[in-house]
Amino acid sequence: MAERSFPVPDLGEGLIEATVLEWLVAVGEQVERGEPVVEVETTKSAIEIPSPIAGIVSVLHGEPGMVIPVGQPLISFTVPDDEAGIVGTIPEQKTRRRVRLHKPDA
Amino acid sequence: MQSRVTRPGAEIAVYSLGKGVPVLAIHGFASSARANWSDSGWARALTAHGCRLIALDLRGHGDSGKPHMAPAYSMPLLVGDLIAVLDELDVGRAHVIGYSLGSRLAIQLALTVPARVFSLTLGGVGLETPFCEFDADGARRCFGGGTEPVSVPTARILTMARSLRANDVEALIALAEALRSDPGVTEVPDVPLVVVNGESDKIATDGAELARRAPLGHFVQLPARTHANAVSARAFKKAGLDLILA
Repeated sequence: MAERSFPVPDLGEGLIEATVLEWLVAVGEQVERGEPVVEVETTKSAIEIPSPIAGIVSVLHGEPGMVIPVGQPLISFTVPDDEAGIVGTIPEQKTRRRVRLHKPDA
Repeated sequence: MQSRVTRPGAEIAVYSLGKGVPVLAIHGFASSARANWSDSGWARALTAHGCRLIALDLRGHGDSGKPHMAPAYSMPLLVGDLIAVLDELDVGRAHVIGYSLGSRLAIQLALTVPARVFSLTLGGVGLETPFCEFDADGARRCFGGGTEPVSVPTARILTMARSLRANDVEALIALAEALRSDPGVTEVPDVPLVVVNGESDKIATDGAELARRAPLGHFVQLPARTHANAVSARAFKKAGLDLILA
């Protein structure tokens, strides 16, 4: 098994950082993709950030009250070895049929 | 699902999500349906518990019309917008949730048409409103680049008005100007209600007293939360769902 880390996502409105308010999941918990994992506060308001993947939480990067810049690690998951790698790895493409276009014979 | 309702002075953007128990959600000053109810996780919480979320962008906000004159933001017009939203979606009666100004309007809705409201979940609100000392002319000068200082309540409201990039600050100044003459909550509705305020909320400080005056009211305090960060708190959602699903 390996660890895959995800950053604080782009929060819009030109925001560059967020303060952790309350974690909504715990280390070791299985979460679904899209399930809210943390509540953060910005200079504008407070929002929930959803889980980017389904997986088992391995690290919560920051205690309530800590400020994390956008793009820095927010949460990590334990994943099977072949899924670990660069954050945001493009999922494997299914093989495509190639079609060669022939010029019609005159 | 999104639709629009034509109202005097403004078209109102209306949103509906999910199926089940109807819950009308009213956002706060300078916010929007999306920021106050979707980004905060409320939409997901409500729809996951068998509720139909009905939201609007208040006039002056979001995708709704934004007149620039104070008379377009009278309390009868604001409450009328809410009734029109319920009528538009054929909802006879709904649970109502609000935050800050949204809570003030929810209370007014329940006082105006009590038969249309099942319950009130009210965040960030008290008996007084933060607009009674708003200096609209000072705010306009300041927004226009003037350097004359304005009062703290005026500066605070102007900062809120500028908080979202898409906000129309002149429209929000006009709304705040209209709300200046609102005496606050002088009568409390006779429906089940819960007031939920952050412990460190400096804008809504008398929420407990508001709940105490309600025949069917109770108060929940959110430890360490402020006016700005209470809206997404899990405990706020729990208090609302407990009341709605009771």
